[in-house]
Amino acid sequence: MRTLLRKLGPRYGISLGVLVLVALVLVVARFVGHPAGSLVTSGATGGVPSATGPSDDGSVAVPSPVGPVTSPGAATPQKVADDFVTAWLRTNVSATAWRAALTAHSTTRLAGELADADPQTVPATRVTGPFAFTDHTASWVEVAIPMDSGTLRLSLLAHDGVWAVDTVDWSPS
Amino acid sequence: MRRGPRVLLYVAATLAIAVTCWVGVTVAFFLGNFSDFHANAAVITSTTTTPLPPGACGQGAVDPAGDLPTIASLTSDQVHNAAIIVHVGQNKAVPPRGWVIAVATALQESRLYNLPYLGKKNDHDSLGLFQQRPSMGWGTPAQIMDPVYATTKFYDKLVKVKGWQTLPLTVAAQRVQRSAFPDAYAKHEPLATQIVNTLTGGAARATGSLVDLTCNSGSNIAASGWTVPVVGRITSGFRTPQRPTHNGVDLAAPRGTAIHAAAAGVVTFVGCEATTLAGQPYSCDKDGGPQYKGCGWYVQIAHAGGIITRYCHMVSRPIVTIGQLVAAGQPIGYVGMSGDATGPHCHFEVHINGDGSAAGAIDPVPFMNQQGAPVGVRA
Repeated sequence: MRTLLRKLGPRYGISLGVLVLVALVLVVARFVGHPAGSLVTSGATGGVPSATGPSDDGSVAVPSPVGPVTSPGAATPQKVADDFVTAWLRTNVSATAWRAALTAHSTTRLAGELADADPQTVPATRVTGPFAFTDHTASWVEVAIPMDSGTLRLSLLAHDGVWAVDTVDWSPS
Repeated sequence: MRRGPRVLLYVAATLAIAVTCWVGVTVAFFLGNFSDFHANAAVITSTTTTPLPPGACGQGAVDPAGDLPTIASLTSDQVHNAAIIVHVGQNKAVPPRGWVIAVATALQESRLYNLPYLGKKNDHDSLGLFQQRPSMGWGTPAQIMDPVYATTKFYDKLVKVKGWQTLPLTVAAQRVQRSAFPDAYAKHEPLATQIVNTLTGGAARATGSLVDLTCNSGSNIAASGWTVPVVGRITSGFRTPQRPTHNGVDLAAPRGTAIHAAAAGVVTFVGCEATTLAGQPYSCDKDGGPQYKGCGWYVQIAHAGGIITRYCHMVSRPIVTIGQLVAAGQPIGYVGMSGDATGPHCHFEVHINGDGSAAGAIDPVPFMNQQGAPVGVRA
């Protein structure tokens, strides 16, 4: 290993080391990550500053993590994400009907971004695994949804405890 | 068949299906890991590539037919297609921000490959670098499969988008692409910036909206999509001998000066952090001082590529909210001296690898120089 690294030179050696570390962290993070459904009671801190110890005039404390808050009678972020995904994948309708179905679960901002969107650009046909809720605060949730040709990532925002999808990201596999 | 064996058969079949599904999901998880890893790889290489020399902000025309540089994580086909995108932008006198947007869009749509019809699994009749559709009026299949034609069509639509030079990259790209994934383009901004810088000798560090490739300065936004949060003198540097745990830079500016988001991103924290030295809570609406601890009123923003920025000591509650998407240069609050501050300034931190802790902090000065948004003005 050492001779290999020496051959590669210090810059590449360090890059390789960093890549291996990142890979390890990602794999470990995936395994200790929050299973789907643990959202309401868990207390992930990924979305909030996590600086600890002395930090001069920067951030010193860890704000207490808060779970997503849903108004009584309103749909949970899980339900809103589920309904959005169902509508997103239902492309055998008119473009107008497809956009209207999405807009029903979208923030005003996202509805604007989808105003001219073409349903024929939906690159997947079905969900292939559980929804993974990756990060959240009281009013913001991120969720990754494995699909047959990639991963859909949504973020949801709550306004007065009423949830709506705000961003739609796609990574092809 | 008697009842017993039939039940056994059902149980076995159910088990087999369950195992198959489980394996499928597990494989999907691992594939997911690899794609995450791939996305992050762009970040790692961009922080380990040779820094561009000062004053390198793009030079000469890119010739796709000439000798092209190698770019870690990209094949020569991908680099060639990126060179065509930059070359067409230069010929059409599109300012360099457009090159970064176009390269990022093609990274999302085709991974910079000139994709033929891929069958039903593909987006129906979508073709080429930008996955344009003949049935939606983008051109004939043969035209769209010509990278120069496809790129020209992309730029023609982009420059008609109102305010495209200062919109977040993903918003500008979506106005052209009209896809079902409007926020997908943002994550490619760091790699697109690296590609444009490598092909042109630093054009992503030029002011994004100017054709003449001027090294970016002041409060303008670079083609990379970065700008300074506050134009001001650096009164305290990153982890100096006197302040080894100072994980950012202090940018001095008069009380009430607007603090701007350094790049597009999502606001991940807004709050007040101030205590007495004994740990008792203290107001952020009053001036702090050395007898207090904390960042005061502050904002944290997550950007593409696992970059996090933090802005401390605002005079009053920040004017953005958690989850809000902000554009580069958008005001997020005002300079003050809440928390541990002896005078009005913006304590500005940059973190990498999505790590908001001290371990993830890097020196903002070289980082911002590389982005074409140098912090600090000479006293």
